[in-house]
Amino acid sequence: MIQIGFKSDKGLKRGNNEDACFVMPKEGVFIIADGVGGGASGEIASRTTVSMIAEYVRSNPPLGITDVATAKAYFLPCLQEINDKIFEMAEKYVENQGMATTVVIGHVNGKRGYFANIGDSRAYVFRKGRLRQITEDHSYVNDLVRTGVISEEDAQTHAKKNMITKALGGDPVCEPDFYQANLENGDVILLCTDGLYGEVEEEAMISIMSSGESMTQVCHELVKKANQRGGHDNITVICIKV
Amino acid sequence: MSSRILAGRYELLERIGDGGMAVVYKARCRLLNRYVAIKILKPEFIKDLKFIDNFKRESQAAASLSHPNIVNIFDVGKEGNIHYIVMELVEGQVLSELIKNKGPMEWRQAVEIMKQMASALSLAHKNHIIHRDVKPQNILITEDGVPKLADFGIAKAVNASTLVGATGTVMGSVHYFSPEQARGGYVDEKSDIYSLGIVLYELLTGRVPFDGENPVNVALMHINEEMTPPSQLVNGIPPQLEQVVMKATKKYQTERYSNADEMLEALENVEHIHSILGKLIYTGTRQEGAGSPDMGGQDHFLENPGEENHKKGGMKSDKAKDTGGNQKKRWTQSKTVAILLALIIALPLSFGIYQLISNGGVGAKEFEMPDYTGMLLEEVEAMAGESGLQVETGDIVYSDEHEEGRVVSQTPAPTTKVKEGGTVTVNLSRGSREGTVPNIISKTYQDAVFFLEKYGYKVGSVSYENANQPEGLVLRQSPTGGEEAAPGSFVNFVVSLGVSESQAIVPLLVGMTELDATEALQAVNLTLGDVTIEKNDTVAEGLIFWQSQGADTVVQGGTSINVKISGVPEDPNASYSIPLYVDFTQASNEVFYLTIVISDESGTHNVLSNAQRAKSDGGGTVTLSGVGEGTVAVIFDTTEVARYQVNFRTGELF
Repeated sequence: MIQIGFKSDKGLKRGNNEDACFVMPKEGVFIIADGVGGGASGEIASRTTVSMIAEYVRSNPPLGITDVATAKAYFLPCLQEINDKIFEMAEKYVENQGMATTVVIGHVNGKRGYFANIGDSRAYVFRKGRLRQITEDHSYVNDLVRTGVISEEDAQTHAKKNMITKALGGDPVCEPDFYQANLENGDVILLCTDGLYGEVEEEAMISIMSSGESMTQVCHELVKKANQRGGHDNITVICIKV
Repeated sequence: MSSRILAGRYELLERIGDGGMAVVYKARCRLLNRYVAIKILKPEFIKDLKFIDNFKRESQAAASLSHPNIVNIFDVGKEGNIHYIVMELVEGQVLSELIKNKGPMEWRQAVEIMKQMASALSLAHKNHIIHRDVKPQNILITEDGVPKLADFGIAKAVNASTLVGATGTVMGSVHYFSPEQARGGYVDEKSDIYSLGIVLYELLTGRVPFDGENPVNVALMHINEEMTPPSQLVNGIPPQLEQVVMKATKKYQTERYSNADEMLEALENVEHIHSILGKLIYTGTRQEGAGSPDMGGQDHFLENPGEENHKKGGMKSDKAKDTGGNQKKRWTQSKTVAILLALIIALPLSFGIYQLISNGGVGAKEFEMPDYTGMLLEEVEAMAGESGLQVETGDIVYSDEHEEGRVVSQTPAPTTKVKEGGTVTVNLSRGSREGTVPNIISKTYQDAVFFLEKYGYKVGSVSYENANQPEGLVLRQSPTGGEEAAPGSFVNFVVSLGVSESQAIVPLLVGMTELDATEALQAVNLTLGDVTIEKNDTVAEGLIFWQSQGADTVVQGGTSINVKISGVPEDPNASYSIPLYVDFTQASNEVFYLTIVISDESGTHNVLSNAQRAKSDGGGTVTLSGVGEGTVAVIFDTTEVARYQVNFRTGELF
């Protein structure tokens, strides 16, 4: 990678930031989590998740990931452990009831990108003016879109668009999905929470990403745009130019 | 005693319910000396300001409704961070419990409940309040058997807010969702009618029509699947009543009862028709398995697949059926046929009369929807006002035909039959779609000019700068590729001059240690400038998380690059905010006063002073801040329950 930008903002309507992110340029691992749950528990879930993944990656550098299967073999044990931990924290303390988090991980290894997700935080690859969504949301509306009940446009305005169907710590079983994408020079990997894509339509995201600005500046502009559109949720973005 | 008083007048007596969002208490209002129910929002909901706002607004709207079948709301308020609603206390049972314990309900009893619910919805709808969450869990049955609908509009507050639980209590009511709610479509009064139809189905059969493994399955079933008619599950449901269920639960809003009054009317007709038709058909018949006890006398219902024919079909089929049927059961056959004939003629007539009355006089006027296409919003509003229609603005769309601000399309479409008081949604034009600027980044200057001209744009100001791109390639453009701009307008762009020998390309320093960064910079003839240590959550401690010149930018050789490293700054004046979780379960009273006192190097100060808290909330987090080291005391009422050592310089609490 040649450039990295990241920004996390609590938005305009929320009192706290339940998003967390972590970048590990040396290992080529990038993580975003968006916590859910009452009180401080969402924040705890997302922070616990990113720091536990970071700790895992630091002590077991990702070597030998060459396809989806090896990516899964590498990340799944760690995600399962975090899942158990959050689930236990949620069971044990009443103030943590319902605590869980989404997570999206991007791992860059040469000309390949590997991705894992649970929930509705996303990974995209931006190439030559086109933005391609890599991960599939685990959300109620996406299930409806996939089964052809509603259109993508309807999904944007659906009353339950924030409802997620899978989350880390939400269920004893942890079933993340894994993806891979080929990368070319100049591609930008975008990881983000729903605070970004829920506010900013794809054309506007593309317009900002096409500006030729530095990744840091692109991240700032994306967050700024989300806040201009209302900033209803926390917004977190990581941009990695390869 | 005083610790159990809310807002100076409500004495909390006992906890009577615990819902997804709130805890309900029985309370006594000291001012009016009556018993009330008080719903207190759970603490996890009070952080979401939008939710609170919606919750309050919707509850206040519902408070304006006064109806014997609606749970009255007396007061909405907040004390400290306790948000509450004071409601009429209904002592009795929740309908869902009743169904669970007793199974299917005798149809007359179900009709009785439904009539009262339809009447309640009618009043709410006339006041433009949509319930959005009609379900047996929201219908309370008093000890005298009077049903009351509760929780008006709270579903809207939940939906509109961004609150999400992974396990989602909100999903609970998906069994009663209308297809449009499942789709996220336009929800109106008819969505309540659908849900009420589902409740009726459940009352009659003891089960919901659609059930599946997960909410999405159930939602899909509401949208796509036909329901099993109740009569196939339970014997003895009058066909007229089944028709009410089927009509209320039509997939399309337009096919349902157009309002709650119409549904009420149909329910009243069920009894009316049954009192004439039912007795005659079933007189003298005895059939086992009809089960439910009878209010009317000795007539038992006969499962009769031909029932539909009595109303829909002609006399012929009835006759054929009757003669071919069981003679023993038809001892009043000739009389039945004669009266049926009279009814078949009379029924459509009386319905016709009813239609006339409802269309012409007292009821809402029905007329053809005018065509508003091409008009300005003001004009539409003026015209619609005359016809008694509400105007809503829908989407702003591109249109080649209509100028900006004029109506492109409308729902309902022109000439559709509509009623006074209805709503028309108009989509307005944002003018014709402009051209799309081509992306010229990374193209050569010549190609860029070619593309711009091909797309009908002009070359604007062109500037040059050094960059880490081969000389002659476009670096940036304005407007950017993909943006809309009128054809013929100028596009400015910046062209690379490449990197001159005296220049350097800044490397990516983020993620490096200070030592690695120094080496990386030296390698390209740059130097490390100021190094600041700052707290940062996104990059591991000891690594750079910010650099003054972005990676890949071109700078003069010898430039120094400032960086920030993630870490704990050594600042003697550092002051951490420390969260402290206070466990309320040790409190001796339900409502108690919480005081938190910090003694530190700046003296003694109170974080909270006699703040009211509810024990049943379980606990809460308080943020402590102060100077240097000290102690924190947690006091419930007048008793100290915990004491901690605290260090605000390091953030430690033990």
